Amino acid sequence: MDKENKRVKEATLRGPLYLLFLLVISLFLVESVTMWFLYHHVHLAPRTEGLIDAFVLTVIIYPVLYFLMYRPLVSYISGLRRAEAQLKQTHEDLKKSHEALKAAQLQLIHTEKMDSVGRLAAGVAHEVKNPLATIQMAITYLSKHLSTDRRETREALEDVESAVKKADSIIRGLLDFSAPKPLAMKTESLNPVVENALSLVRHHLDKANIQLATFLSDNLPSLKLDKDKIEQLFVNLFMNAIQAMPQGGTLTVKTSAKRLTDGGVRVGLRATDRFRTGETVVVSEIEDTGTGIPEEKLSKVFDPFFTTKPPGQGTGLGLTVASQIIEMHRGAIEIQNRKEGGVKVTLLFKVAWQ
Amino acid sequence: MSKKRILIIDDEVKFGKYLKLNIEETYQHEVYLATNGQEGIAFVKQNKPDLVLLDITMPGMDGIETLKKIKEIDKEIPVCMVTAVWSNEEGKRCFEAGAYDYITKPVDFEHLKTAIFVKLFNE
Repeated sequence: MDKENKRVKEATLRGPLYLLFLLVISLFLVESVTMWFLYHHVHLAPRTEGLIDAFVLTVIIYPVLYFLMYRPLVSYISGLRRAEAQLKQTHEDLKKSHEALKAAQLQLIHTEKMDSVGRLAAGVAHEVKNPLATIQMAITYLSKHLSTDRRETREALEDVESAVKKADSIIRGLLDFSAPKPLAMKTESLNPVVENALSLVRHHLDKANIQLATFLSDNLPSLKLDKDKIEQLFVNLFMNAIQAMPQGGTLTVKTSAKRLTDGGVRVGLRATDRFRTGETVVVSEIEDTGTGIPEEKLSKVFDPFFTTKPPGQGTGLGLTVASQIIEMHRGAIEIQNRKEGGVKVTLLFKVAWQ
Repeated sequence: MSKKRILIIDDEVKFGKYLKLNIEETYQHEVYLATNGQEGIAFVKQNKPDLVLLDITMPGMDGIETLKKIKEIDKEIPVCMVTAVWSNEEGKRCFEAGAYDYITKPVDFEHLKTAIFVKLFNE
């Protein structure tokens, strides 16, 4: 037992009854001895005797009270206060551990779900692609033999072919998600990757009558990137933004370097991927002026097959794969609605030299 | 253009049937269908085909094993792998065993036509 606990225990042992007993005995003994001495060796006048009795009692009681009651009580109370403070601290620590455990549990469940999706994907892919291949071949044959004079016949054949392609792209997306290829990381600057991705969607921007505003900072720190994957990520995000603005609008793309003043949790799959306060990161922001995402659906946007797009548009895997790509780069992605309307996607990348 | 002999080895019977029909109509070649590795090897031994379209995933003897056996019979026979799910690892094994190309299901017939035409006529 350490010194502190020993003192607390000792203070606790000196309980009120025990102290009272000590006080009474001490007073009685000291008073008795003093008065006996005075009676037998000093001649006292009757009035003086009372005064001396009171004086002796007063002189004796204060030290006794101090050493036998005050100090132990103070020590006892201090001990109790320290114990209370320790309990409070322990409670806080336990609360934090509990929250961390909960987060870890949720993460494990999520990982398990994704692993199951991955295992399912590999099995499903083979079983589904073969019948799709049969349909594709049969349609190719029918296209040559069926009379296509009727518009409906031509459309039916085209629709089946397009449905097969759509199903195939979903399966491929699922396979990409479930078995991501290893990254080919090189030291790169982010701006050329962003510009390249923008050039790939330029046609879609023009077709949808969307204005593009770019604010790409010069002299960004270098990053360790798989250029192709990050380009794919940006293309996914740009296409989401374009599809959210069917009546036109503005797509704003920004890049900058920033020293984080808040090490708060970002959206990601691992608590250990939090960025530290003071860390320099490269930030990219993509904003659109579309309809935004319903608040109750914001937490689900990274789930596989979740989509807010109309049927027939997208597979619901774009953001899932995007978050996976960012995760593999030890970065972070956050999606929020803008006050002015539309969505803002924020990407954080760790700088290469850190 | 001289008539060529093309062998399809695929356990998906219906897919094989329509693939055979499409190739026959496009090229007027002789197209034969085997539904497993052993059947395919037996055909290769008796009638040296000019081209083989070989499925990778088959029960029993898989496509890569079948490919190796075909190459043992005649290493000059060009073999194009056909697969529903392509992986780099599997691809490496196929090319190392002697395949010259691959196509994924569902098959883009234009891509298949190119793969067949280039190999059959070396043009």
